[in-house]
Amino acid sequence: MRTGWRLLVGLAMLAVLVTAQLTRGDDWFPLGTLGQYAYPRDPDGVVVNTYLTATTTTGEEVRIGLTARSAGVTRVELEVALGDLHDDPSMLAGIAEVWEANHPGVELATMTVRQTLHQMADGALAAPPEERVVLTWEVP
Amino acid sequence: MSRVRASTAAFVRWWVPALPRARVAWVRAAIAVMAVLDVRYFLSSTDDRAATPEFFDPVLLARWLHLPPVTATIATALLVGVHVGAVGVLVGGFRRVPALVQHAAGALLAVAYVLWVVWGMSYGYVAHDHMAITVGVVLLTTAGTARYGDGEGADAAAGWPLRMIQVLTVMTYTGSVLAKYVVSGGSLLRWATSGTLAWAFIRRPNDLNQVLVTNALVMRAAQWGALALELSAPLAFVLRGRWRALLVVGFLGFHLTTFLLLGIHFLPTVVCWSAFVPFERVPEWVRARLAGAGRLVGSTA
Repeated sequence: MRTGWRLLVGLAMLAVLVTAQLTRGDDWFPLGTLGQYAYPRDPDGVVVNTYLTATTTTGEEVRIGLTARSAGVTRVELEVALGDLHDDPSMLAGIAEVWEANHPGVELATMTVRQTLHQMADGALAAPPEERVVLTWEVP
Repeated sequence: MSRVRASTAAFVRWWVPALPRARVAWVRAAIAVMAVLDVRYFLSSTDDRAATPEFFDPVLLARWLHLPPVTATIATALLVGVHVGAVGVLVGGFRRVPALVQHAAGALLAVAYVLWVVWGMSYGYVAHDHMAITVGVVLLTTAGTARYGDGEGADAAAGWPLRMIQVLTVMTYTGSVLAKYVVSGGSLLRWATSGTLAWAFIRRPNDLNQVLVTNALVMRAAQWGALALELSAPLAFVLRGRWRALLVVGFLGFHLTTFLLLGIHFLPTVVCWSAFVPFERVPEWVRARLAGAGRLVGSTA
């Protein structure tokens, strides 16, 4: 490989990386936007934590851990998909399948997407959290 | 005219520098070990995606390669590829092993690991600690044969991939400041005075960060400190010797802190700092120590 090519490839990669930052090219991986924690959260805003609970066919309430291993999706991925989930809650079926496969003998009856809300003030946690239900889906 | 020519030559020499060939072998080994740890423990999620293809959200590279949602068979094949490739890279660094082993293993590791990572990033969340390692594992295959014991002999074929890993490692931090600037609407002040750190602590609560999260002054100071540190990363190209070592240790300390506070280890980037470390001196250092110990033993005998 000649020096000219090496120089060209190096500068091109840098150019792509810088352009990705300017255009927020999140999916230009591996040279995409370096946007982890880049978004300036409102210092007086509300922090939302999404989580998932379910009831089993025997009436027991369980929390579905949102990791790829436990549920097939992570919390962030579930939050990214929340809009689609509102339109089509049956997207939760895949998660139920993974969770049930990890818990042989236990079947899920309903699944509930929940959120905890934390109030911030001046960039710090200011009050005890509140809970809300986003949606409930009956597992067929 | 000659000044322009000299500047151009210096520019090219910086981007395509002669760096020790032995360091390529050491950095390859570090990345190979990291790749195995990554697919086993950190980005192990690729293996768990087979049952949720409806969440497949391919990144650009995955779309270019026409990758389908990952299946259990593909994930297993890639897992095997990363393990076999990594072992070959580690063993291939020794002089007695035929060069073919490190070349074949390096290529296998690059293909298997890059595909694993690209699939891992194609389910909605793209992590930004995998930039330097993902590009580096590919570029290191262009360096040719490199052995741990090659000494300080340097050339551009070895230097270029190392320089690119160095640049991308530094850009992981400095580029993130640019991202913050852009996402914050052209104001770093807005980011530094935002609630981002408290938001992060609330999203990933632990005993330590819950002590700090209610203190607005600490939160703000920490955000300014993070910005200053990220902007200081290019000093790695300016500082030499112990000062550079101190800077690298400073960044490792930063990652230890974020690990304790947020559970974020950033190890794929941490490993890439190895491109700045003069590993090529290790064999000579070990030999000198052993010889010294031998002399000591000899003198007491």
